Amino acid sequence: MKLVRLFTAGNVDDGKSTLIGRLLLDSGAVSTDIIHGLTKSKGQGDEEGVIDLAFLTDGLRSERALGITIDVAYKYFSTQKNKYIIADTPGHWEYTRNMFTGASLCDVAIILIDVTIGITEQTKRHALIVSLLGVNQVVFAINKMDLKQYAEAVFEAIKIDLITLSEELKINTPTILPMSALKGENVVAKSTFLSWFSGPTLFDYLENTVHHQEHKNELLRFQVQYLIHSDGLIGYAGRIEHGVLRIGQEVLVVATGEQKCIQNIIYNNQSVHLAKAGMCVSIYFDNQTELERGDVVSAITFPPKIGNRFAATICWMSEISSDLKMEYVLQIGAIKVLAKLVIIHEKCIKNRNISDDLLLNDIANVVIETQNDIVFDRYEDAKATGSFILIDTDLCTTVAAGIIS
Amino acid sequence: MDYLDYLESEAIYVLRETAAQFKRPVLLFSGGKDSICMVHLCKKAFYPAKFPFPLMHIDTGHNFPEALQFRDALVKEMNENLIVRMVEDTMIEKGIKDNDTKFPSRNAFQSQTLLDAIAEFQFDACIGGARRDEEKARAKERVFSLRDKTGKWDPNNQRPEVWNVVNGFLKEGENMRVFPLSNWTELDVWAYIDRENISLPSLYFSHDRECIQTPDGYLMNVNEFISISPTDKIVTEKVRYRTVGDMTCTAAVPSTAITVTEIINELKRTKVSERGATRIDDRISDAGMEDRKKEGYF
Repeated sequence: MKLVRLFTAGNVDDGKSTLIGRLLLDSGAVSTDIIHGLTKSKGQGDEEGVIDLAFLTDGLRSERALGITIDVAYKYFSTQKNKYIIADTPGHWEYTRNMFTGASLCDVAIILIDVTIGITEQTKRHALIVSLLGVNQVVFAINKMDLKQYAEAVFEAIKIDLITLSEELKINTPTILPMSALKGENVVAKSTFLSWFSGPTLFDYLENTVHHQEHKNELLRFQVQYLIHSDGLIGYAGRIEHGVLRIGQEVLVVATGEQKCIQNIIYNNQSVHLAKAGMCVSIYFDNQTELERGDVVSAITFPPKIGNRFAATICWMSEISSDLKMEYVLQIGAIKVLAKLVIIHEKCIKNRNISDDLLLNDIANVVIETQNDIVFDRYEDAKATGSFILIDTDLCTTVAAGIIS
Repeated sequence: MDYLDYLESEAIYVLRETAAQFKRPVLLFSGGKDSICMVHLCKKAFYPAKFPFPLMHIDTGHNFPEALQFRDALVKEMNENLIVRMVEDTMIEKGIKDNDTKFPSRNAFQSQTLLDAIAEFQFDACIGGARRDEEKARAKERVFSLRDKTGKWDPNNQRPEVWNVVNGFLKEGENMRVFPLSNWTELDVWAYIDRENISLPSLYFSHDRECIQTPDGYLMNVNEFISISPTDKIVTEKVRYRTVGDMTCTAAVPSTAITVTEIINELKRTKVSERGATRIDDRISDAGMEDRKKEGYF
């Protein structure tokens, strides 16, 4: 069984939570006591006994009261083929940072569009984030088709706009599907109302499309996460982010430029000759090697970059606006370094207030300078060493998340 | 990688990150299946060294004896350090008496004992086996979940969790709750127990047990902590436990499953959720778990 991470985005009221509720319900993932809870907790004045699918993911009292999703909810279901992790992210403009959280690790993005409204600013914002984060499979779900009598012409008109938008944002071959999440048309079951549509249901698409990105084989990235001391030996524990490691392989310790030979690899409590991307291992070198947490190991070919200045795109996540004079801690995986924002170029997504500083939910192209040289990659080459957060150390808050361009 | 390899790798990553970023982490350990899986994952995360943190059990005094025996045997076998703090001690100190109800719950007092123990040992990160699929408030919680000085969770102001970068900075008095099994479901845990051949307390497998049947159909183990009235019907049933919490609030489920494979097959057929089938404490209110978490509950 494979693991597939997906997330839903879209405007408030486009029916994201309803869609997830529909996927869970129609694929048989919801237990009867939980369905009972959904009918029980329905707000006052609503029809007795009607299931509100959105309540499957809107788990907090304030969310039920407001009828909107505030934070990312994670839901799970499995089929014979896949285990799915669904992140239901909020649609409200004020919660763009939560959406960024939900989207950062996903394989598939489902962006909902209300067929009665069409593409909105929020659709563009979400599509841009998906494009920036490099989510490799994008589905535009044109929802509420029942309100337009399942008319093909209405669907086609929005589809043309979406193809144009995707081209602008370099989203490759998006999948565009008509559906009604509320009525359950073309989500899991094929719809008789949509007989003109020859494509798959959302569920078929998820089940039958290849979801995992292939990486360049020659790229190797391993970051030391933790040092395991035992019997006078040091195991450098970490996850292989890209590529493969072999016993006997010559690798580069990027920060020092030293070439070292891997003497042992421990995976699953035993020595293994070869370990692949995704595995948490510990590796052993000769006794003269001294690495620290954060050190990056790569192949001798295609090493990452070293420097103290780079361009990045960041999403501002704090209520306190950015400050060019302020020193933040920049963290890439286990690397921490003091850093400043030195230039803020144009904003890709603007907050409603006009300001040169970055405000909550702004997304902008910036230049960052770090106090010392650090090891990094372009995000499109290697996500783990190409993505970072900025921390305000007085408040201990994460103020921004960024990708290196 | 298979999905279980992926889930295992994610949990090990989280455990190592906790050991690296925090000064005094602790692994909360109850003798239940999720925390037994956590111990198994810790062995892999830090092999061949010992765990870089102690284990701690907040013992309500209402635990199943089988779970406690299993807990002590496992800790002894691994030669790891276990701290036990008793909820009863907190209750005596604060002059609190058990609720005068049929199934007296110590849920509310358990959080206090946990917070006292955190203060006593100055733990800055508590690792637990809670999963997002258990409950709708848990589904909203981050893997690294910040608690303020009073142990409170603020669901509306959680730290962004982007990629795998963990912001472990804490202000004075704050601590982190860490949930490496966040993305596991009940079935994933059982599939992992099966694959890794992990031993569990006998409670999890079908056995004969004396129970009383509550009006809403729960089978509650007959024990000295619940009050049994003459009208209660006492039955001996073939049951097992899906979760192992307190004897006062955890119900048994009818089952003939005596192997892990049989349990997995049974779970695939069941239509009732894990907590729904077994936890009478969640049914008090629709936001029961959310409220308890806001008070410092795990």
